[in-house]
Amino acid sequence: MQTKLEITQGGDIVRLIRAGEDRAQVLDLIISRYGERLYWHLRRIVVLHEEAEDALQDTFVAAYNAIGGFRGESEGSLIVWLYRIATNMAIKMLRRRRRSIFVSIDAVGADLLADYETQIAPDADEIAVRLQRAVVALPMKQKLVFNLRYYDELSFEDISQATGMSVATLKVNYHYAVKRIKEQVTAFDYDEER
Amino acid sequence: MMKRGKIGMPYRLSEGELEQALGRARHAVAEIHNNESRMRRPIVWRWAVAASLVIAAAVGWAVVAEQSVTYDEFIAQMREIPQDMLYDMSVDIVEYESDITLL
Repeated sequence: MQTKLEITQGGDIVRLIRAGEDRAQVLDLIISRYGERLYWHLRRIVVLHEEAEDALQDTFVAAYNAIGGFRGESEGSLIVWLYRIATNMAIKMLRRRRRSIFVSIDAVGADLLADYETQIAPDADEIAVRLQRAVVALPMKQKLVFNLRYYDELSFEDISQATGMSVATLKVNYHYAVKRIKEQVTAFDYDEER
Repeated sequence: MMKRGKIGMPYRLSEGELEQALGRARHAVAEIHNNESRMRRPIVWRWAVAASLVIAAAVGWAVVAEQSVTYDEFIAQMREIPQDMLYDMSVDIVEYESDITLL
């Protein structure tokens, strides 16, 4: 039997959930292990630190409330489940920023780009700044699949579960995202040279 | 979590901000957990009181049942009393029969 310490060092959280362990303790372990990863996932979508912080809190509160219904068998399914909750929270947050409920979530793109310029670290790597600027400018579906594939290294099958989109749709969106990012970064180079 | 060579994040994040965000999430979960426990407590108390009352009633019933006798048992007991004693006490069992109710 693994001790709590062994579990925090890489053991099986899913087994604790299945054993009906205290939900608050389980969430504490989940936050320790996946909190940072989920924070960056949220930050890449909502851009502002304060909003990422709020979305992170909402994510874990939702996970706490729903963990009794988690039916996954592996740590991998737990991660995907957490990504799904976090993604929903981020999208919910962006929806609130829309000026009207009748416009697409992509309508907040300009605001996100403006926010992004205020969020760049002074010592940030120039390549990273350009890449992220291009990512922030992507439509939401493309942004989600690119982030989850490139930064979080999830498989298309896992991304499909986390976003509710089909694998075929995801692959098409990923293809367009990569193409667009290349164009954006190249266009930036061209502009700078001029 | 990123592979070596992968382009990193350009976002500004001062020291301690990430820990603060994680701490806030932990605190929110703990607070909800505590609220839930607090709300569950009165229900536990109610159940405890109800269970105590049921147990007390059952014990009381058992004690009364143990001490009480049926009409036939009472008559039998009275008949066991020696007749002279009965005579001395001037007790006429028949007179009492109508007053005795089953407990």
